[in-house]
Amino acid sequence: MDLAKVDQIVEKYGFDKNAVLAILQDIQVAYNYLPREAINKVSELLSLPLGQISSQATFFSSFSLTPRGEHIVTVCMGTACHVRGAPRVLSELERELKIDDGETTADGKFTIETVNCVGACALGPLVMVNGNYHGNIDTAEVSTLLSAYR
Amino acid sequence: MIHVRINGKLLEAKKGETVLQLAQRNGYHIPNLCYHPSLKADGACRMCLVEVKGANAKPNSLTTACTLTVKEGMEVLLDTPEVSKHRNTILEMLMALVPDSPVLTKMAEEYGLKEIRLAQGDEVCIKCGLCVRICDEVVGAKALAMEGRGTETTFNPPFNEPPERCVACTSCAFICPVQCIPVKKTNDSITIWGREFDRLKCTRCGRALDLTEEHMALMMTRSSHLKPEDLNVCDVCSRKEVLGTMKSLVDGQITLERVGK
Ligand code: SF4
Ligand code: SF4
Ligand code: FES
Ligand code: FES
Repeated sequence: MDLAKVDQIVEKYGFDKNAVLAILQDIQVAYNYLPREAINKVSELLSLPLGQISSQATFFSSFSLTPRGEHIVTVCMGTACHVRGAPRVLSELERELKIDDGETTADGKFTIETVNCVGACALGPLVMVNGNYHGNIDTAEVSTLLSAYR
Repeated sequence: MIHVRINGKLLEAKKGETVLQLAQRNGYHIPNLCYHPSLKADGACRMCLVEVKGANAKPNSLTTACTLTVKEGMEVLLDTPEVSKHRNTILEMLMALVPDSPVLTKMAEEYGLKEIRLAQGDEVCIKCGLCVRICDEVVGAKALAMEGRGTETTFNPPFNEPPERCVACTSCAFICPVQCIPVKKTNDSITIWGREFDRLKCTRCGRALDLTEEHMALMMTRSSHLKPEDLNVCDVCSRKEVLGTMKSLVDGQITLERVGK
């Protein structure tokens, strides 16, 4: 694995021990997930015990420790979306892509993730693809939505 | 001096001490699972609940004695029905999480908790955090981590892999209130958290020590006056040496000035 980007990112933050969170965020953007090698490298470059990094990397649900797909499909499971049918939308997505929540398709195209409320409750049920909001999603619209990214 | 009442009895408290410390100093027992005198209080287990009155406390306020600093005029009640009701709920939740702990079972008997109404888990760790805290604060190895969050929080080596920074001091296993960290000792090795370490041998008699190369190195970096010879001699041999020195002193073979050399 090429870790040159990790070096650059850590350097960009001036090897600041307090910048772990920002560093991890940048790594996730660069690699689309947090590779274990990258986490070890951060620990080494900042001279911080691995545990001080792993505790942050595992705390936030926005971080992924496993490789993610090219397109991230995020289903809001917050209360408002839930009552408006988010569980049905999620099942439909899982059926269409033949993976469960948290998994990535074999071709590496899609990952399904869930979150709790993204602050757009009026649009529920809400699905985001690569950070773009798609509101009032009906189970029947799921396959059309996906086809745009297939 | 600060005046605090515990169960109505007026006690003299030291500035800065906690209600738990004051109570223990005066022979009162407050159940606790995540407190240790050598660590900063964390208030994680909630078993040390007490009821507080006076000193601007809200009416009927329940709080954790291990994190509550004494204040003039404070009144603390240890065993009110409120305290016991909430403490038993906490204990019930802990026992649902960790059903087979003798330590918790004993507490349940002591406090009359009869029934666990919640779904039973199959964990062994009550998530008190003592292991991580002692490894950080006292041992200084910083080999363990609190990972995840909420009900999924775990306390183990980073990514639950054999910990690189561990020195096999076994402090974490010793402090764990429910004794759920296994340690395997043979004459030659200590195995903890899935990593096996060689035991050092007494340089005089060859007996196996409760010490590893890694632990010795860490202790020496943490206190510069320590030398290997202070650590790698067994109790029996160092006692013999002290006795020998004392005998020579008594017999007049050496004088006090020479002892230091
Ligand atoms: S045995 Fe290892 S993990 Fe446990 S306190 Fe000692 S150094 Fe830390
Ligand atoms: S392993 Fe033991 S000491 Fe560590 S958090 Fe769990 S119960 Fe507490
Ligand atoms: S619950 Fe889905 S956006 Fe708020
Ligand atoms: S001993 Fe006070 S909260 Fe655990």
